[in-house]
Amino acid sequence: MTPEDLAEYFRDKLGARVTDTKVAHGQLTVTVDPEALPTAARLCKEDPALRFDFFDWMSGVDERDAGFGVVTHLYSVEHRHHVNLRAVAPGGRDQPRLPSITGVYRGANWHEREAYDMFGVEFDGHPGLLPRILTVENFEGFPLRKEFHLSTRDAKPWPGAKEPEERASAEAGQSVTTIDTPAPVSAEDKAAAAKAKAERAKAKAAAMRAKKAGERAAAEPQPAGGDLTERAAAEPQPAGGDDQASAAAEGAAPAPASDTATMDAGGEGLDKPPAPSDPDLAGAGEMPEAASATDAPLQADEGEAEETRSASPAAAGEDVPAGTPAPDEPMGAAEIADSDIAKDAAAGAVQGDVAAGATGDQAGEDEPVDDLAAETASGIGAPPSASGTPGVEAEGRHGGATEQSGDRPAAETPGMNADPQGRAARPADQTPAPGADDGASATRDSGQAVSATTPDPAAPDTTPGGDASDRPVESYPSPDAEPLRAQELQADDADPPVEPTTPSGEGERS
Amino acid sequence: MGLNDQVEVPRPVKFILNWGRKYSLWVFNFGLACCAIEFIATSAARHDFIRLGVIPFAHGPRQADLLIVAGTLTDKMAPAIKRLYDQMPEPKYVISFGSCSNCGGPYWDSYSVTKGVDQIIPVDIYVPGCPPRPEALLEGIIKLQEMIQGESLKDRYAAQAARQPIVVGGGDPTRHPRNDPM
Repeated sequence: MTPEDLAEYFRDKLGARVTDTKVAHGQLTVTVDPEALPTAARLCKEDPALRFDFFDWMSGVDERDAGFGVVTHLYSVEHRHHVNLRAVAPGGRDQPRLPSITGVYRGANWHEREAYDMFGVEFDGHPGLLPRILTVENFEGFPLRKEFHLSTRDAKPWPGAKEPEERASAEAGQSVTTIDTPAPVSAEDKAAAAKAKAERAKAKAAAMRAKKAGERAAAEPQPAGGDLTERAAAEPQPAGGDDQASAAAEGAAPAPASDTATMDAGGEGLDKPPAPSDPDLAGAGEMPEAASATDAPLQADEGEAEETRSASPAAAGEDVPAGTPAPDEPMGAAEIADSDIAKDAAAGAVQGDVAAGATGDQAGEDEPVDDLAAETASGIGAPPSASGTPGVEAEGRHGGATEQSGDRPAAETPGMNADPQGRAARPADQTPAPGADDGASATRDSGQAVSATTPDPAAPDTTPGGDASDRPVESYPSPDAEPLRAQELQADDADPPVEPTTPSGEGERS
Repeated sequence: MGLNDQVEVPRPVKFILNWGRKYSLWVFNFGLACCAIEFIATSAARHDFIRLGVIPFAHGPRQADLLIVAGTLTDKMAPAIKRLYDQMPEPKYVISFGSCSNCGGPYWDSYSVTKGVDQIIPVDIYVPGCPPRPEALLEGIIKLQEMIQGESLKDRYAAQAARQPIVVGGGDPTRHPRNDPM
């Protein structure tokens, strides 16, 4: 039956006890005389033409001056039709009472208790409305009634229009704008705050990047894979991507797309240029704070973790709670994606002949045998160096470890191992620090060296790189849990790029 | 509880006892809302707080050392949490996980939500966030472990009422985001 037919049917069966029928949105609402509610319910359930065998749900409705309505939703599995049975409780707002339909639908029991809890509608014949089912025993009032005021609002007014009647009175008395004003302001503030926070996070990222680059530069003349490092730090896994890029570059030829650093790595193996470049990027391109932060951190690696912790919060801004979701999270993800894509692109571009898909493999092919031992060692030390795609990290890593690009100078490896945080070390060395930059720059396939001109947005991208080296350590601040580190690292490495949490977890990580 | 709540045990002994307690925190997960999902994520493979010695799935409050309240505590539920907390053996610790259990969170104006689990039971660590990331819980756990490592049970029992809560990330746990946007 269509809703209209149903309405007719109800009128035929119940006559004057149906006070209203209404079809809206394809649903029929039948308003019945409150006294006749159980009768109507029984008709609905037992009439073969209706067969409303499923009591869906029931709710009270505050109808203001009219008192309280109760709407029962019924459905017929057999006929697949639906009706809303509505009755307005007599007694106005003071003593709303309705006959219970628990005698017809047992499932109505708790629904009626809820209606009583929320609206104060009493049901005659109900097995027991008390104790209250949703609110506490001694709860005063009926919270879904319009006149129910939340106690907090009594104590502290809501800045905007809180209740419809207030708005109405306000409109009558004065311009609405007064009421609405606060809202926009607050919104702006919010936006500003968010922006500020984002900036802070950015600055922090830049600072960290700069610090790492600087540190690397100071410690080892080697290639600063540093940029990527950041990301890795934030995200354990992403390192793989960089490696891949670097490996590809090294193995085949200097990639035009990749930054100067990458090129250097490919050509010489020892790329000092990148290290300096990074700091520049970070320092100059980024926020001023970055510079300041950078200075402090140039210390021993071990100390770093601690420093980073303390320093980063400062950079990021005083009060970032640990749990707070970072505004730039998305950005981080984007960055990662960028860098990865960029790397892939770069790799592909560089070695056009080689299959684009197997970047890591390509790198492996070139590798000279002599380096094997060293590389293996390094690989063990720094598992993440894998050349695999970020997504496929695990595999990539292994492949990368065993077969690192041949071009890479043997000297590098030792350096890596030498790195205090050996395991982490891997990414930094091989990875062209610029790898991150690649992401940004790669997009411009021109193959030009990345200049300082890199757009600000790009700079953050750089960050993602990662020497996950120290990062993992940082992420779990407990210094005493030395044994944990290995696990952490592993876990981190294994972790897919999934969560670009960088700044978000500031509290926790930094 | 034996001697250690009456006399100050020698430092080496205390160190070892605390060290043992710190790395075997049987946790009783009081999951009440979406924060419970984050808690579960923290216990699962990726974040894996078992490596910190936090053991999930205590058989019940009587076998638990740590209570993590994750989610929205309603007035209706409050008596239950109080009761279960009371069943836990001393020494026991409580982590309030998420804004709702810290202070009511987004339901600060609700008629049914308890404005902070600390109105019901004493809380050692507050982890803010809505919901907090698993890393936040990890840090909360580490902070708790640091606290345990450095504590004296005698003092703890003596000054139980005067305990200073730790807020991960700092700040006032009752801070409202509207008044103090981050």
